[in-house]
Amino acid sequence: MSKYTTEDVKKMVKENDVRFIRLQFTDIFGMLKNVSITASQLEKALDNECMFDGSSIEGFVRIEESDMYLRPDPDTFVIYPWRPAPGRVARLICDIYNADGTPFEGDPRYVLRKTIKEAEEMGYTFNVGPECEFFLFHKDEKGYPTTVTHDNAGYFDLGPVDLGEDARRDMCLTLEAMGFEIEASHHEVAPGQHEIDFKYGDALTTADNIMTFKLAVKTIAQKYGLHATFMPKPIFGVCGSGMHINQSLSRDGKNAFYDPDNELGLSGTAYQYIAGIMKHIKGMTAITNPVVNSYKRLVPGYEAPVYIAWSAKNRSPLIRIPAARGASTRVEMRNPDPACNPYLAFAVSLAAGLDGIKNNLQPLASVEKNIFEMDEDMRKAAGIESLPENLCQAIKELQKDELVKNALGSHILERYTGAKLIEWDEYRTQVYEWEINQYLAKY
Amino acid sequence: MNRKVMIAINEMDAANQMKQVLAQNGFHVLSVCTSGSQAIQKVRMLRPDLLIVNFELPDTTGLEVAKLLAYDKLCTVILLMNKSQTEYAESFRGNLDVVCLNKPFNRTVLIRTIDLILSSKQQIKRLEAEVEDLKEDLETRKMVDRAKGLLMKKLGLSEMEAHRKIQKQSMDHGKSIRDVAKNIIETL
Repeated sequence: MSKYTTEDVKKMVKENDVRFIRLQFTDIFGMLKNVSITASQLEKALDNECMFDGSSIEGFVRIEESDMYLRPDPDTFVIYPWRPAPGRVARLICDIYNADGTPFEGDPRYVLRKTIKEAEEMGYTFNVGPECEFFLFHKDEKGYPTTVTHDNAGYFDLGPVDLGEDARRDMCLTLEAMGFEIEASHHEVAPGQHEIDFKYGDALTTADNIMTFKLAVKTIAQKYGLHATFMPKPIFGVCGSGMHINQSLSRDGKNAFYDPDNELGLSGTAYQYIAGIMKHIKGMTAITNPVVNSYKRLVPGYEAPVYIAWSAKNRSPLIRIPAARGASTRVEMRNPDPACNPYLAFAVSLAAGLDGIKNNLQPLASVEKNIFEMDEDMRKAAGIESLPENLCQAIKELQKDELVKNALGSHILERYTGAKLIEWDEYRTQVYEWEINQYLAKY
Repeated sequence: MNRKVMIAINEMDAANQMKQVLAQNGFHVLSVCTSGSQAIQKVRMLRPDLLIVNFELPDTTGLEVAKLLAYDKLCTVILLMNKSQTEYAESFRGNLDVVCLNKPFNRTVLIRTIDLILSSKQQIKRLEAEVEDLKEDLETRKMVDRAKGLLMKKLGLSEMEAHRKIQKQSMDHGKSIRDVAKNIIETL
């Protein structure tokens, strides 16, 4: 499957006059980290001799065990298209290994690899297609990002150029130059909100791509003096940014979710997979919707899912089955947002789906009505539950779900929940403007 | 003459002062801003002929702004800097459309620099247009020659007759000589 050998990488670096190489990895909170090396150090890096201090990375290790090694994945070699030559910059995405040569448990890429392997042992290949939304905001006179969008900035009287559209076009071209296949790009529901979709692929490549995507979008936005944010709900009262995850399994090159004889065109495996996701969704939410702000998106009225249900017709529930069948048959999970760590989010969804297949779970009947129009009793009668309402609830659900915990591994679980509970506590104890406005004069 | 200018200086007072000076000297100041991001954003929207940017900015350096805008050929940039920054800036400027101006400078120097830049830019634009015209002419002439050659060879016409034929076709159909010649080359 591999695209490049280490020899290819060395050749490309030489031929393209690459001066710096960024060795990248993702921490457990989904932040992209990198160690920059000069081209002369490439040989050493490709021999997996590049070391860094793991204790400096949030959520990694304690100081006593801090020596860690980066193992670059040659397939991920890309030359950044946004720096004018000469002195070009390339990147390699790395796996993280302990000093003793074992893979590091806290590396999100490893967690995903582990789950993919489990699927492979069952004969499945896991494919993922993300739909990533983001906002483009203006910056103020000091260069700090604001929540003012181009659409309502009132610049139309000055010039007819739609900066947001221009920036998005440039983003698509840049991503294409980096080997992405862009399927669609359009303005989204909210002012200043955009979406760019790229072609699905195997889970590991797609997770790498999402990290690259975010970096490229932010970099290009800067070129336009704009700020791109993947914050889930930056403005009250308008739609937030989601990252729907389209998932499918294939077996022997055929889509395992497709069955032409079934009424909905879905195979038994697809139903089991859906059931698995629905069973574990509460436990996964802390991973797929990882920040306090994520839960402000998951409220009724803004196209984001709130209730745990699925449908092949309706667009509003948590899990939607898009109309395409055959090789394109897929399950679309609608709750994740772009703040999540894609490696971990893919790993837990796959683990949940596989659990459904292994234990032959069956989903509740699909819901074709608009759930937002049902009252609580009706939902109860239909057996429809809700997603966790806030980060704290989500963490508690995660701690109850053995399967999700297992998929993450004890190292990540411990650090992740610890950090998230602190985040929640900080949020919980703040006093907000809303409270001042409500109560200060009243009491 | 194109005299559309933008100013980006970290201190609003200084920026406004410069705006006044420029306005008094007949320049059209489209916008004044204080950060690099705003400068980039506004240049892309307002398309000035020239941006005057200070080296120090709150969010980035004027050099970065200058490189970015000049690399995308959006406008000419005057970069205001101290003597100590000159060498550094010059080494990164490459052959981009960026002019470095050392501080302190007086009004006359500023105005003269801008005048010089804008008028030479104008001249370059005119020359570029001329070159483009000449290229076009040359191309047409080549095509007509080829078409004439073909007519002479295949239809046994003399050069005069061939020339007349092309001219007549052009007039009859209201098409340019070039299109007619192209058509002849493609069909004969």
